[in-house]
Amino acid sequence: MLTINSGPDGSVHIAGRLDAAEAPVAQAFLDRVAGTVNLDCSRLEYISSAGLGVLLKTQKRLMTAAGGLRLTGVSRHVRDIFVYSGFDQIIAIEVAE
Amino acid sequence: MRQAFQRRIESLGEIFRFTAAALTVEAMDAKQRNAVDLAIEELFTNMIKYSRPGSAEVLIEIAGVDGAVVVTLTDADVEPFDVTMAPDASVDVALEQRQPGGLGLHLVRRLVDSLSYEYVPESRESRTSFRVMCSRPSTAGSNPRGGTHADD
Repeated sequence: MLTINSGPDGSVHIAGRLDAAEAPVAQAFLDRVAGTVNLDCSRLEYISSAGLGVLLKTQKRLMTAAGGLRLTGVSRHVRDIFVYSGFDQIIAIEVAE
Repeated sequence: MRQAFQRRIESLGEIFRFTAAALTVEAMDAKQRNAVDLAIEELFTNMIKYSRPGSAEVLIEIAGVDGAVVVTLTDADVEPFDVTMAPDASVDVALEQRQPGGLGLHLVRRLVDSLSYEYVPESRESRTSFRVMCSRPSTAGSNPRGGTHADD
């Protein structure tokens, strides 16, 4: 189960599991964001390669317009996935304390 | 425990309910359970992508063996594809050169303690197994009366 929505400050909140079944939902939402986007991942429990594909496509699109993703509140497990995939080198990530 | 799943992405929700039931909280911590789920998802979605439409269901078996959880995915009536031989993805390239895809097996190899593959030509069955060590003694697939069985 995945939820993704915008907060009052313009940040995007993603919660639950970003797996292959939910990736299209996340992609459809992120296809509409622009600029520098703060993505609150404090309630993101799980991400698979399908979810990474969503973030990659979004990051590429935003950066061509001088924007980009900034992930905050990333759990240690999700952080590990980013490190294994090299995504910590192409997306700004803040790990939850 | 074992269960067969229809060969479609929408089966993932049912698969994760199956793994949640099979993996007791005492046996694995959240990180290890996530590793099992992610490895299953990546292997399962690969099977969907590379099999022909209308193929048989995928059987997933989970068992506790020697302080670890062993998961086997069996795909029937398929051509062989040894996942252990797939090359790693290039993860050190710049954003502009990154392409979607190719990360599934790359992640699996880093999350599990071992990965194996077997193809049975007589039945055209492809069996992929992986092992994730438990932080505590595993009770996955165990007999409710006590003891552990490799096959439930």
